[in-house]
Amino acid sequence: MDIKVLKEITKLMNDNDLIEVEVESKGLKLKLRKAGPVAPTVMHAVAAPAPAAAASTLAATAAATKSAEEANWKPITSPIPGTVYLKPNPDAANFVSEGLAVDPAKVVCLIEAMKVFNEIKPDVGINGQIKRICVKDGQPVEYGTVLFLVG
Amino acid sequence: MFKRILIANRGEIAVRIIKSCKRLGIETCVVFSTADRESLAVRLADVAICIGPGPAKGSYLNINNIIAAAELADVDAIHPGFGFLSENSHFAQVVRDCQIEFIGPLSESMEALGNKAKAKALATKAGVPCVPGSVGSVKDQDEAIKIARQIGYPVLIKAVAGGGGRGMREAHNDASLVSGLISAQREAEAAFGNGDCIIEAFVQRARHIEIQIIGDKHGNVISLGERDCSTQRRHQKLVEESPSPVITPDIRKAMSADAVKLSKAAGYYNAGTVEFIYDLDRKSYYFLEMNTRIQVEHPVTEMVNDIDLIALMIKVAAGEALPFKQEDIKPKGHAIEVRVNAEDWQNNFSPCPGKISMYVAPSGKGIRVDSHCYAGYNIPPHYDSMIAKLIVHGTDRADALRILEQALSEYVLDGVKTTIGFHQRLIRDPRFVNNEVTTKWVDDVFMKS
Repeated sequence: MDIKVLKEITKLMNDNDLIEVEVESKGLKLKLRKAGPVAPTVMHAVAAPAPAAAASTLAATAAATKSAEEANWKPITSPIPGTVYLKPNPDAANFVSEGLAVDPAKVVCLIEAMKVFNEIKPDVGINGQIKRICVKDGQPVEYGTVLFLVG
Repeated sequence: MFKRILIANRGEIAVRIIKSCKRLGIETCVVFSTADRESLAVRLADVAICIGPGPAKGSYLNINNIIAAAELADVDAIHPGFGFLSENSHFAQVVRDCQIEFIGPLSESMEALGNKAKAKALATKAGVPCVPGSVGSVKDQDEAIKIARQIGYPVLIKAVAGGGGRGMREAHNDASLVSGLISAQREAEAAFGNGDCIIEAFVQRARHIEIQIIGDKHGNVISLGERDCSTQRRHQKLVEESPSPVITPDIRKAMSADAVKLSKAAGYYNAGTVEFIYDLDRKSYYFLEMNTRIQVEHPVTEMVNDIDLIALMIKVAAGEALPFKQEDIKPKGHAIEVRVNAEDWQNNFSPCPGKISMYVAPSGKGIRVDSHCYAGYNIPPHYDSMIAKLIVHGTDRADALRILEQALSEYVLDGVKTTIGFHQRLIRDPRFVNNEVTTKWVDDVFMKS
């Protein structure tokens, strides 16, 4: 959990007298609720199930509603818990954009873990275009979180 | 006190640690493998982070990913539970190097006690009685034979890095010693990366008795009394109880004092267990080894002393002094724990992973169940088969056994085979009731009758 993001949300809640806030993005569901009138904000963060290949049980049901093409998309997943960065530095452009062709030699994002920026490349056998970017810049991810879909 | 603790474990002990943290007002972060996404620990923790695939090598033994999760969750301490990385001194050091407190002893103490040969040398130096045998590991077969003849057969071959019965062989003559040594070395090399073995006299009629100690960072170490874990199958504990029904108050006192002495000699703090073997024929005890972590059977000690050992571990790791002195420890009544494993006990205790269709744990006065099970839970095949611990507390042993018999009969756990039936048979056996059990009894007598 990125504490900075939490602090910002908490400040937003205090500034606007909000009692409950729910934030949802791919791979993460966050619910913040103020407990009593004096008690501090109670944090309860639940890592939602990884959307695609990591949870193979979900794949079967998802395939039914997806087009035949989408079902063939391959995921690039995070090998480590950390913070994902879609660009090499804050002022630069993203490593990849939708439609860009990638292969196992191409760096698609960085994951910061233990003060180290790990370059993430597609697994061997994943060749094709970026069909979907599944994470936001600066988002915390865990092992198996789907970062991109390639088709 | 810590604000947020990461639990580097799974199953029953992860749930157990979360509960103590909640009582102390500490936030919890649990790490989990893809096989444990639906686990109770993930559900109960404030934050849960997936660290790897089902096989433990990529997840619960993956130091990099655990540290990465600890940073992401911004925790100030890590509790390792038992098994996995709990006795890995390198992990403890990495954790501390990252300015995160490791809830356990110093790496140096773990190294001094984790190796059986080193621990024995330390115990001998501290004046704690050890089983007669080799000083340090044996160099070769000739030396092994020489030592075995000196102390007299039968002897026990033990891997210095071993545990859980692996790397252990009995030998009754020169020939079985040589073949046993070769296979023990090979097994230990594969399992622990260290094939060194020691040779000890084999105590024929033995009880396994261990002392729970806890120390703080201010030099205080006290004994919380003993647990008798003599009911074992292939060196795996099945039942643990306190107090031991076979030792005298004088022996109990001397064992406790020796456990404290050894811990102090190792500069030990936090929870630990000093294991002894009690020779029923000679009525004397010998130091076996020290486990530098919380143990599966810790609730037995908690029940008779009315304390929370996990909470104590957290407090002493945070620098607090022990809240009581040795003379304050006055255990009451009798506690017994049985381990419920997902195993087909009538079929050589073969593991039975699978889905629990129905689950109702027993409850009531004097009954405690530590478990991560629920109806619909799928027991993954990657890990230990222990799925619950049933602990009872009565006024005396007979009372505890009555409560245990009732609790076992009320335990509903359908869908997988378990050892509940084994325990029901065991506690009705007059030889168990009358304390005629030795560490070999289940293998040699009970399972054959």
